[in-house]
Amino acid sequence: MSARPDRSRVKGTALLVLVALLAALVLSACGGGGSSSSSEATESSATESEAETESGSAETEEGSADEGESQTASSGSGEWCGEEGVTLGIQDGGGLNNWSKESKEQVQMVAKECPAVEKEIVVDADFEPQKAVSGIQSMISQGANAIVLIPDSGNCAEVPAMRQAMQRDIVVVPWAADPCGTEGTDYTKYIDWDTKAAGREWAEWVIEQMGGKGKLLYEGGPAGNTVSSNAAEAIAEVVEENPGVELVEPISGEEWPVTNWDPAETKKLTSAILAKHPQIDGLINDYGASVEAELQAFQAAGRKIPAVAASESNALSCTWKEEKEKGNEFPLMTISSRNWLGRYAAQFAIAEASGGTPPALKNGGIFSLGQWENSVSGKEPECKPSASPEASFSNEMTEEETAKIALEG
Amino acid sequence: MTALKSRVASPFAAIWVATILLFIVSPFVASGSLGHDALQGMLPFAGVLAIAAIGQTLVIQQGGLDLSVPGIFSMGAVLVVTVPGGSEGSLIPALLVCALVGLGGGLLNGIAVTRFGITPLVATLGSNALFIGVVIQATGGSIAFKATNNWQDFTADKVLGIPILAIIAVVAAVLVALFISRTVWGRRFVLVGSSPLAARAAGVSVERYQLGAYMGAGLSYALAGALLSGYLQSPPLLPGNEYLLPSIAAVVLGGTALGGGRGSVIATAVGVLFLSQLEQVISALGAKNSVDYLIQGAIVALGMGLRNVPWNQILPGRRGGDSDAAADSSTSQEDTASDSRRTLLKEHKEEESIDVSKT
Repeated sequence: MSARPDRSRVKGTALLVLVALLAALVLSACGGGGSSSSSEATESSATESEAETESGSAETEEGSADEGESQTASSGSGEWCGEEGVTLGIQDGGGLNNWSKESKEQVQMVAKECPAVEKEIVVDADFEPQKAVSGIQSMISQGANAIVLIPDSGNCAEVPAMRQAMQRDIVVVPWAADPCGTEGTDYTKYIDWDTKAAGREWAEWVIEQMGGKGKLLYEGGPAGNTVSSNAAEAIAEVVEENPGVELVEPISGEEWPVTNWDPAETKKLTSAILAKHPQIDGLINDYGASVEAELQAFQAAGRKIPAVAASESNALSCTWKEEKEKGNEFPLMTISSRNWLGRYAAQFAIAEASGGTPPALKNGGIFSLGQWENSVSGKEPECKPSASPEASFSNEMTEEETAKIALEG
Repeated sequence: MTALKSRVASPFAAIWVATILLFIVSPFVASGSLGHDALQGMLPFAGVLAIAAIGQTLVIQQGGLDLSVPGIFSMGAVLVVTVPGGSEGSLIPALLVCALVGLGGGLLNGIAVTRFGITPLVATLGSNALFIGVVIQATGGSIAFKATNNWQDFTADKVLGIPILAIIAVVAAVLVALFISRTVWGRRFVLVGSSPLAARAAGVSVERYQLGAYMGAGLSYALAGALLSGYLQSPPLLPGNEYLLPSIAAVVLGGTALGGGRGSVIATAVGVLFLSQLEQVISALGAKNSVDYLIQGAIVALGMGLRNVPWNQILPGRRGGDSDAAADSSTSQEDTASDSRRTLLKEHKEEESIDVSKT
């Protein structure tokens, strides 16, 4: 009586384990590296990812974004690397896309250059404020003396935890997203691009391509995020200065067509907008990787792609190249996706914690990045079919090139 | 006439009426929401959602609930891109791997529910975390490839001007509906969902049918993910996150009973069409993002809530006097349910006897 259920239970358990293992094996074999919680793990994941690119693609000779990064990584440490031991906390408010992956790699690349960095603690908050706060608290309890973080898990969610870290004399350097607090109390130094300047750059260039008249569409990320909010505000200002230009959908610091930085949402949103508006003469999108989906919607609707201004992305540049080869070239301008700013955030934090000299940052650490690619004049968009569709090649800039943008003198 | 009456009174009729009304009203409420471009933009996404929702219908029909849609869907989306790594020749093996992983994921859910007796809600919530973890671990946080060109072309294709993703969804819904209504296995499947105890008493292997429902569901999520990947060309890491709630909402709006038994994949597909067109109308109205969520949430809640209103008590003259209405309505519902079970059991016994006579 009791033997049968036992046997079936054992069989069930074995089957369960087998299915889980099979699923994990299949995906692991097909995928790249792994997200990490320690420096060693990340190192191996980067290597795997490169290996995968080599085996999975016929055009590996051109090299991938990762390879480019490792070339810039060998530039050696500078005065910013002191002698006192550093336990470095690295946190991303999100963490589940290529932009986050490249940002983390830039920070870790710098950390590896400095022998004073003894340990790294890595936390991805997956856009959950609670996870972000507990991540910082965990870093404090594990003895971190420097924290480099992207505070975008929610609306100013990290401020109390950052303040807590500051009270324990931990160096806190937020970057790439507005931390909302006060320098000296809530964080040591905030390093970022100037999103309003980026918004102005995009809008002025697109309107120039439109000949100063026509209809302009801006699409931004999740509601409430400061990057899209600042860009939208600046774009709305430039549009007001150009009476011949009209916005396809109304935008302000509080409101804009929301893509959630997700390709599916972007494609759906753009299709709906195209159905409503027969004329669109210029596009601005603050996330390069979702522009590809926006352009697909134009192509699916049989509409001509107008002038496009966005942040850089390999897929976007490749679409531009394909359209050019078909004779449907459209004007494209991009701004750097700015992951490389993570190098300066890491240098600053490590310098403060290890007794080194912090880099002398221009404009208090908030940079106007200018144009990265411009199909009309200057730098042609760069497409590498062998690299990830979301790869950002501005991260391959050498120390000298980034220093021109970020450092005094 | 009686057949027509019973069709109109069917719990699946409401979503047809609501959807037809929505399409009639759309151009008046929001111009451009029913144009050629709007439909061409909406139908492919509706097709993907419908394929996922067919799987959810099967599970709900067995009295379960599948929260592992995001995980299995994302595994399918990632595999169809990463297995071929851009090589068109490897598309078929990649699709087979997707199908196997979908079936495997469903099997895992099914075993957890049937063999270990874990509540479906908890079992699938846990397995979903496992699948998402596998996707993140395997990809390292980003996908290194685009969908192969032939898969991109196939998913963007149109037949007689209709997006192929919508056609695939319709074909899948019809095939599953025919399977359920016209085959012995299908009828037993409904019997198991309606009353596992009665089915067990009639000698039907309840576990096998429940396991089959979860496996079928896993397969549908993985294939929906693979199709979306091709359509988007470069999919995000976890595209399935957006498909969990709409898949459940479509099933419930379609009229499938959350307690199991009564269900219709065709009505679910119509529910998907309703939800997609509703999104289109709200978007065309230029509503703010927050308003968009509010309106959609309210209509879905209303649609689901209206089903639970005791109309027999409220509407005069529907059934007997006022004082007995409550008792009447509850007993009538029970009667109908037990009647349908009896019919199913009878059918099952007839099938058994036919089988015996054949042997």
